[in-house]
Amino acid sequence: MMSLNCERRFWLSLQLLAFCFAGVLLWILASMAMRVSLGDVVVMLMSDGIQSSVKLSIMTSSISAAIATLLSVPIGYVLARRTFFAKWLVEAICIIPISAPPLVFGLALLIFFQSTAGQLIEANVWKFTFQVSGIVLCQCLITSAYAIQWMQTVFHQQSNRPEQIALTLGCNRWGAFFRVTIPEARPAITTVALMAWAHCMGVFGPILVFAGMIRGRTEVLSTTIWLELQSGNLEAAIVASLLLIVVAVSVTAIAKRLQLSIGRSAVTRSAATQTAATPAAVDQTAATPAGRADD
Amino acid sequence: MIELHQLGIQRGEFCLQGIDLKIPTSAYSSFIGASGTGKTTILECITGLLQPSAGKLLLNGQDCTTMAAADRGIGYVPQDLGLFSWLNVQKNLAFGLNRQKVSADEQRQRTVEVTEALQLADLLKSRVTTLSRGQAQRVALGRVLVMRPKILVLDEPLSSLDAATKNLVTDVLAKFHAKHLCTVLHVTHHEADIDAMCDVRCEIQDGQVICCEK
Repeated sequence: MMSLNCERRFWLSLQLLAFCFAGVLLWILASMAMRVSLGDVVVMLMSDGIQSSVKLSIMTSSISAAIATLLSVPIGYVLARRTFFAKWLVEAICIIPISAPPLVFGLALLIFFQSTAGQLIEANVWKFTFQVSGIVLCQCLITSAYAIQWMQTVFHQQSNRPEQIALTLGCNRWGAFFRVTIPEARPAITTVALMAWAHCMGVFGPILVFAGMIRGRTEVLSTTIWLELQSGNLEAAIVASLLLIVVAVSVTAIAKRLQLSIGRSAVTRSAATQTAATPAAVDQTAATPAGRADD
Repeated sequence: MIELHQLGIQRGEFCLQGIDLKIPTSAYSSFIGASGTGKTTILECITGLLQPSAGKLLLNGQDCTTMAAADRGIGYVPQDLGLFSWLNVQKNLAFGLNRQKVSADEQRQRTVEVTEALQLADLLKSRVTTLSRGQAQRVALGRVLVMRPKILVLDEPLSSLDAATKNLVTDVLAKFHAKHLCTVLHVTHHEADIDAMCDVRCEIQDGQVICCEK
């Protein structure tokens, strides 16, 4: 009886801590949301400024998330499965956009594109500085670092046995990767793509420095918040913030649903079959990325 | 024939040195030994999933030490099965046949033969994630048998089967061995299960494999 009570108290105290933390977050966000009326929200949402920044945010985030996901799958895979020369160095460099302030990356990009190599790229390949493509580049670099970490965790948790069996059944290494590894990790890849998209929506620091905040040209939702604050339009800043929060909550909800549907099939799964890389793996390691204007 | 000459295997901290093993062509061999002695490691080396650090590996007289797993023509059923969880039973069975570009008619014939023998016919459209351990084990075995390999490497394929299914699978293995005259290396902790069909008994002791014909 004693142990049952002790068990219950243990879990109750942890649950209470979780509720308290969620409550504090909700309190802070609610206090911001209370500053605007529903009418204000509707008016702001209809404004050209917010609409163009939403469109640009969605467009750039979609492109960046796609590129980040495509990059993260092979890089996450090799980092999870192989030991190679200077792997620790590659891992350390890949994590810089996470560990260093993202603003640093914006500055580095700006200086890089003023160098000879950067100017050659801008003159002959593509213009990035203070352009929409610059937003995509910033979002890609920052989000890829997160996506690589998520995918690395996924592949760490995914058994390599099905791949090995594919090798004995006639596949070469590429065949096993594309026919077995990728299909097995597909639910997790979808979740990573979703989280990457949400993360891209919130990237701020590097865009501020490298792409600038040119009204109607390189203005995305995260920079709109800053621009509106600077011009004293608090209501518009709050509406842009609320939009990012809605994105964050929606993406997390979709990711959770995806995770649940896979979890359900995992319950009925026999011990015989390999555990597919579940989005849970991603979910456990990823700080909820959506709507972050932390950088 | 499976021949290992002074094979050395390094896997992290685990190390095996100077392994010698000879299993004659078409022999059915049991492979026993305590847990953690390196049976699975040796099997993975034979199948080409693990590269030996020293020595030679010959399959049917050919030096296969550095040959890719796909080219060795070995059917391998690991302990953890490695089924393709996003595919149904039928597609799991057909995976290897598709890679080897076996014609549709031939595929159908082989699949029917194996599914009937292993009583999998009713499960063909089921996702492997919905199968019981025993059913999954039969699918993993079927996936290999449809390939008709010359060498069959089995890592405890009877471990989670009830008595009736164990008899069924043992019977299927015996018939397959007799019909296709393949060389079989069968890891087991219950020698009695396959005693009747074994020609060779291999035991791993103190890092060495001792084989004797029965």
